Amino acid sequence: MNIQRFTAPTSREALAKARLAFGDGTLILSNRPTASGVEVVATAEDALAALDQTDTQRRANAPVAEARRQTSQVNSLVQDPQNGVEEDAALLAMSTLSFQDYVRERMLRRRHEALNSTASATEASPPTPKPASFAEKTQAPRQWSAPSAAKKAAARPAPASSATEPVVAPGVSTGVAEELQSMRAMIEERFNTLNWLGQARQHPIQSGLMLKLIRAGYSPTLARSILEKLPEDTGAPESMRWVMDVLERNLRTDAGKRPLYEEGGVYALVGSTGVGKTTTAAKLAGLCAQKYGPASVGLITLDTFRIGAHEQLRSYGRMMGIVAHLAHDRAALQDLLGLLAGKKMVLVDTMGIAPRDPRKKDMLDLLALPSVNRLLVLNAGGQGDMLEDVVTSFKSSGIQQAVLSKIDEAVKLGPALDATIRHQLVLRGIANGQRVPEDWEAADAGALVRASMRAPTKSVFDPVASDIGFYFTESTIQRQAQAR
Amino acid sequence: MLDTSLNQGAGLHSIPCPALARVIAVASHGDSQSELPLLWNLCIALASMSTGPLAVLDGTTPESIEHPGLSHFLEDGHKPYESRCGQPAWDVIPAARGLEKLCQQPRLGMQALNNLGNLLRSHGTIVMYAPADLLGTLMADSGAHPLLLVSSTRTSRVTAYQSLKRMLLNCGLRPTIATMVVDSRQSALNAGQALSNNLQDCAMYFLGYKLDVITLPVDPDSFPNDMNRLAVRLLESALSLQRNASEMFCSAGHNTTQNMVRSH
Repeated sequence: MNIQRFTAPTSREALAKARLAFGDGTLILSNRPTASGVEVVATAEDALAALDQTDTQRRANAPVAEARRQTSQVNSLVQDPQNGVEEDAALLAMSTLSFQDYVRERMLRRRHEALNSTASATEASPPTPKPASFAEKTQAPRQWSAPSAAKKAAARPAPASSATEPVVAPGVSTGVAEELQSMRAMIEERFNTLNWLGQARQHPIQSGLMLKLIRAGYSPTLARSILEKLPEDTGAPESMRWVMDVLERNLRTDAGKRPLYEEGGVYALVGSTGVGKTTTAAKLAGLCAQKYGPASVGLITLDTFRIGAHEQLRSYGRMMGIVAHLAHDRAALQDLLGLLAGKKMVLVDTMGIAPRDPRKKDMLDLLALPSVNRLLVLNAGGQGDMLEDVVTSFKSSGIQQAVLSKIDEAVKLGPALDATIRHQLVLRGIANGQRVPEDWEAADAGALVRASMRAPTKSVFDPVASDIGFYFTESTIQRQAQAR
Repeated sequence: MLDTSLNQGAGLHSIPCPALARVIAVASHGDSQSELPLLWNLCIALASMSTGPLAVLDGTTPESIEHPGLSHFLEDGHKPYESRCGQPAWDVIPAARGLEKLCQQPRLGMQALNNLGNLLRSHGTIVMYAPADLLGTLMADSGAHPLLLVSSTRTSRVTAYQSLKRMLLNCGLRPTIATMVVDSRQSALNAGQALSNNLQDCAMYFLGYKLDVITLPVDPDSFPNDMNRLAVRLLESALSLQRNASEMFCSAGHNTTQNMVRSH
């Protein structure tokens, strides 16, 4: 299609020029006055026929053209972050301080872009998530600069799914991306520490309580969730009492019920190795035998692995006048449970198994009988992560019942109580010594919490105030786990 | 600290043990060929459970001078079968005359059995193997569940049913029957099952008694779990004998400390 522009001092002269070019079939498309006269845009009439012929074809080709147009837009969008990261990479040569400023600036810009993009064009545009996720990633340090730890904790879970994946933009080498990640982590830590110190100056009671809880062995997660709800304008002693009340209320025990050995039933003692399952079984059997007679107790062991396990339980049983039976498999266990159905209490001692031992599933399957209640035996002196691992791996459906053993050996009760509270286990008793059956007590939530908050000695493992900020830094592993 | 007799389970010694001995009754009806092997294996299973020293009162064998038994203990009050180290896992005591003497005592039932328990106070489990009539008289209305063994022979079936009827109707005992199968082949198992069903039907039809029947192999070595199961079952349904108040504490615990030897 041939379209030409003609300019002349007057419109008559401009039209004459057009006719000269296209002949009688000149078609004027537009005319407008200009500074030098008049401008006429014209074409030939023949061009209309060609236009009619190509109209149908053009309509058919329109989506393709539109797609091309969109693709070009998409490419431009893809290119933008790439360019941005390249700029970032170039700016890496700058000092850390200037990079921090740069990151802040970029964060703000990206946030605005992300907000605008989500508001205006949320319709399917595949490449947009990439820049958005990068923008969200860079928001993470901003969250730590929020005024209070409570707000931070509340704000954190929402962007976790998208903000945690490490994104390597096209065109950027992995090394640079890793460098960016590590620098971001470092900035987070620094901001966090500064934030903690600032907060500690603003809320000394809250930060002091946080430090105390962490020193007692409670996890930062639990400590944070408790202190978020700490009433404002409360004095230090009242705050302390409030925290202990909250812990006591959340530590579930069988305080309102009869003790385990009076209630009776079939209980399988499960737990990791060396936590005192056999001794606990002997204590419970002894207490039940004292109250209801030896004929009221049944003892079964499933431990065919540990040398002397059956003999140990049998020795205890012999001292009480109770026969300790050995079950090799599920059928034998069911058979024995049927034969001992008339007993007040039947205790099933199991083999101690590490949480990640593949045999654990077999053993838990073996115990998956409707009449059998599981009683998780936890070493009260255990380390927090270890206890968490054990509780998670031995978790079963229904009410989770637990016994804390070796209370007398535990330096800090915080980790055990923390796991008990967070997993909502019901404490059915505590074992506080080796003597059978004397060293058994009912679980008293108040006494346990008080004991946990009493720091016996100064420990090298205790954090100091300036370290607390690091406790709130999410590790990369944690972020990846959350993303999964 | 090492010289003290305290140990981790010292507190368990204070638990009163009113049931000194458990009495397991095995009724004989003349089929000794199937009864004796099973009795032997039952004793092995019971001994392996560490329920305390085991005594077998053999009511089918009379006491003699060479082989003193229950009647001698009852007459002399002599107790030669105290638990000692190095002794066999169980004591077999001829008791035909002794059990008859117990039956002739004016006070029968639990009183006589408790006397027997006091006589054999060092034994945790007593297996009383005696003719069904004698056993029925001695344990009348005690709530015991005597075990009756039945083999596939016709005579065994008839005598077993006869013993079952007498113990049930005359003595108020509720026997459990164990039918013996020759091997694990299906035909043998079917035959054993048919025998069990037959006895159960007869007991229900003629005696109005729902008979509890267990099927056991003749050779228990190939089925050790079956024998252990029977032992547990008999142990849990055993008759518990009371002991004197002065002796109502677990002897095992006390023996543990008494048997301690200083290493230096």
